[in-house]
Amino acid sequence: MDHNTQKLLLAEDDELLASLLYYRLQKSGYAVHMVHDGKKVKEYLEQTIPDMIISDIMMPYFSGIELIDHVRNVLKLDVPIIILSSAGNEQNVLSAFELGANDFISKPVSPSELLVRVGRELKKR
Amino acid sequence: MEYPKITYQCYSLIHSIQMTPEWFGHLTLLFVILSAIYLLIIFIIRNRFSRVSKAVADRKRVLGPMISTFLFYEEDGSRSEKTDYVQLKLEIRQLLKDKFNRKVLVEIFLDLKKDISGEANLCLSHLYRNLGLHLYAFDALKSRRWVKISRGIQELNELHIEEGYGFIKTFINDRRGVIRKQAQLAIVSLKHEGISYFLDTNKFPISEWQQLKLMDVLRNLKDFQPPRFRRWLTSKNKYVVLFALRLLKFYKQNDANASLIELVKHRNEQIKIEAIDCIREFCVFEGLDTMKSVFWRCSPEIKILLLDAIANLGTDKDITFLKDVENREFTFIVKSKALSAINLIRPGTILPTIDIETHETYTGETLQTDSPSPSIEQVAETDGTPRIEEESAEQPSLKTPDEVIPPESNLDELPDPLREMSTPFTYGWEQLVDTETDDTEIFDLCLMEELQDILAQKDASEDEEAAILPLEFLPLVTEAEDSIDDSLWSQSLPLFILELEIECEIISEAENFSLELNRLLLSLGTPSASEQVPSSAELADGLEIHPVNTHGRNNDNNLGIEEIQGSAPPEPVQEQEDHNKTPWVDVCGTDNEVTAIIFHLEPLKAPATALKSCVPQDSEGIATKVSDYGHQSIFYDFFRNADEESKLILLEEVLAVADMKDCQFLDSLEGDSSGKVRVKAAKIKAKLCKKWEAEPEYKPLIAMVGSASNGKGYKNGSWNESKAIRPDPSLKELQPLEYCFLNINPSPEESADGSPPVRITVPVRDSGTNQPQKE
Repeated sequence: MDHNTQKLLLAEDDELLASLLYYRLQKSGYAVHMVHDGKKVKEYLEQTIPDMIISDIMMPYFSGIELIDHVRNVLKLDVPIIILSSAGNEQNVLSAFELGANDFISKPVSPSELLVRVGRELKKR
Repeated sequence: MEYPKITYQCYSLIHSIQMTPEWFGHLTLLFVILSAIYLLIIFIIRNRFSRVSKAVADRKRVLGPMISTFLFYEEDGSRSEKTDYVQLKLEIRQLLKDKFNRKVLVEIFLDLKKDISGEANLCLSHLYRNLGLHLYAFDALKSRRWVKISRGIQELNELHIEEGYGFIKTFINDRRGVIRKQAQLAIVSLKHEGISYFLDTNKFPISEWQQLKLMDVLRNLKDFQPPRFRRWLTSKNKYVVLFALRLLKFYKQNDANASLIELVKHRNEQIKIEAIDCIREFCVFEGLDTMKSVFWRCSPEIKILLLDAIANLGTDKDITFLKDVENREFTFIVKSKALSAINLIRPGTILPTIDIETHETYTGETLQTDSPSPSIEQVAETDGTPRIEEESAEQPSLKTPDEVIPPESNLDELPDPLREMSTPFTYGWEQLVDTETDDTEIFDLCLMEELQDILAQKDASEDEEAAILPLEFLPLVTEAEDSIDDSLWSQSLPLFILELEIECEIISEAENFSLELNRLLLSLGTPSASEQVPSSAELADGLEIHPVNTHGRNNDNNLGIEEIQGSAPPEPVQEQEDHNKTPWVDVCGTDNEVTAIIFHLEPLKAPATALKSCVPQDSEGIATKVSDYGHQSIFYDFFRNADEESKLILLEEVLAVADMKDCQFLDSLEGDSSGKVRVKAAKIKAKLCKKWEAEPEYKPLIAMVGSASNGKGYKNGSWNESKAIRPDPSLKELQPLEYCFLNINPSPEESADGSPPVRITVPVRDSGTNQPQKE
């Protein structure tokens, strides 16, 4: 699989999980940019527009919900957004969907499942 | 050894220390040094923690990708990938020789185990074992430190190293609580038979929290086949019995009925409660007798549970026991529960008895036993309105179930709403409650009932005027005039219905005045109506409307005044001059206007009598009408059942809302049994008249009220019997609707004695423009 042309932004504050997912996505051929807090996500988005954003909901400085709001209402981007959230956080997930999230994966994350969802969302574009 | 005697002399030894500046300097230095040492220690400890956590984070950043590489390694990868993998494996082996690296690596494994699922999660356990980290965990179990042992058990449990089961189960009865609880969770989690081993061998109490955690572990076990937990109902450890009972209930194992029944007799209340719960859950009917036998020696809480179980499982035979409980038990909640249990077994056995008032038994009343309301034709007869001959004599006066209103052939030509009223339909109570009954039928039914009631009221009060009936609920008929057959208006319809419609339309639509006037005149011209309604000549006794067409109804809205004049009978015209000569009436008008009649207040009898004619008249005179009007007051019903205090309060309200009817009603209160009410009524009446006096349009009404008040006239805010305005017998009545056409205004002209005249004008249409004109 070669997805070199498709850039993914992975925003996850847990470095270990982020590195695991980064490795898995990169191995699948995506160009992944990994950040660990909301500030850096914002900075990155001011410079580059990724093909997809994979974001945790709970992040320092700038939560996943705010990120979706920023992307949809400030930057006016229709980039697919997949939300990572721990189980039992349904209210946040609903808010994320209301703001324009495209998909949602609950933690613990299955890397294989994430790959499938990323591929599906990118195909929709 | 001698101890100094403690006497009051010792106090002399206590004295304040002499503080010198040197002392202060030494003490300050001491505290500074202590603070510096304290801060230094904190700084060192903090730095150490920071350094360690930074080192761990750095090491995790190194080891994390390595673990990722191992986790997602694919056998069918390229040669370079395989070479890298082998080199990485050698590298990590070297790293694992370091204790710190091992520690960090285990942390990574435990973290990732929580964060990832699926195939990667399983791979993580394999990798842990492949790297030989489980061996270090086994070594930790041999440690004497409880922290190391606990951490080792946790590693083996979370990374699911089944080989550790044998090592861990030795800690299941460890005296150290943390290790014991960790071991209990581990053995239940690692192997399916762990729960059996735990229940068999556990000697220590199992806390509620631990029971919940164990059940959570069991619930998350894949392909778990629970053992028959009845085996542990005989355990000597009561906590095991309790936990087994809960597991029985959770896994719904209903093969331990005999044991459950025996456990109802257990000394431990918790076990008893769980056993009763199980009996109720599994419907163990055999346990009823045991529950009854243990009932009297149980606490109220257990008794309630027992009664609840008996209510669910019991039959009629158990009601005796429950009644016995209700009689013998002293605790209110238990008694109450017993009663509710009886009602649950046999609903309706126990009925509410507290605060229930006694009433006579309802014997049942039928509509036929009541005096039937008069039918339409009866009302028509009493009203003097023309009777519809074709109307069926069998028309029911009240609606009884399955009653049929027979068709009335001659009413088929009535205007639509009236025709709908007389449309035959069958209705019964079944239809009334039928949800599918058409709304229009229900509406018709209600309409008929309302009409019948009103007509019944009318019949009872022997009113001659139907126009004052409260028929506001009737729909306003706005059908085109052309579609109405004129002859029907004069022949088929009762007069009062015609009048009702005219009144309603006149109020709402001023521009249709001419049309309504025509309709009114037409109704006056009908033979039957002429018997009841005074002719225009008779009207001329009191006031004159000139000219008046009393010969049939002209449907032409543009009817000119000349046309009307031409058809008017000569007699009223002749009498007009005579009436013009009356000192208190001036008739103004030209050829193309009807008339303008000026009344002078001095002989206010005329308008007073004319307005009085709104009050239904009969041969007995006005006095009876006063009481009749009093009955129409909204306060009449209130006063019938009110006590003295309520009447006084109601009288206060009369002032605010009173009209002529209420004034008559106030008169009727002069005969009230209560003196206070009589006085109050008189006061209110006086206030009312004062209020009306201030407004010119009420002056005739005041006079009328005086005339209607049995000769008690009103003057200057008080009622004067000597000045009572009496009705002039020479004056004839107007129909009520005719007064709607009169505008009573005070005239600037004054009569000879200074009393202001009242000008009553009748608006008519100009023949040419068809525009209403007023004078």
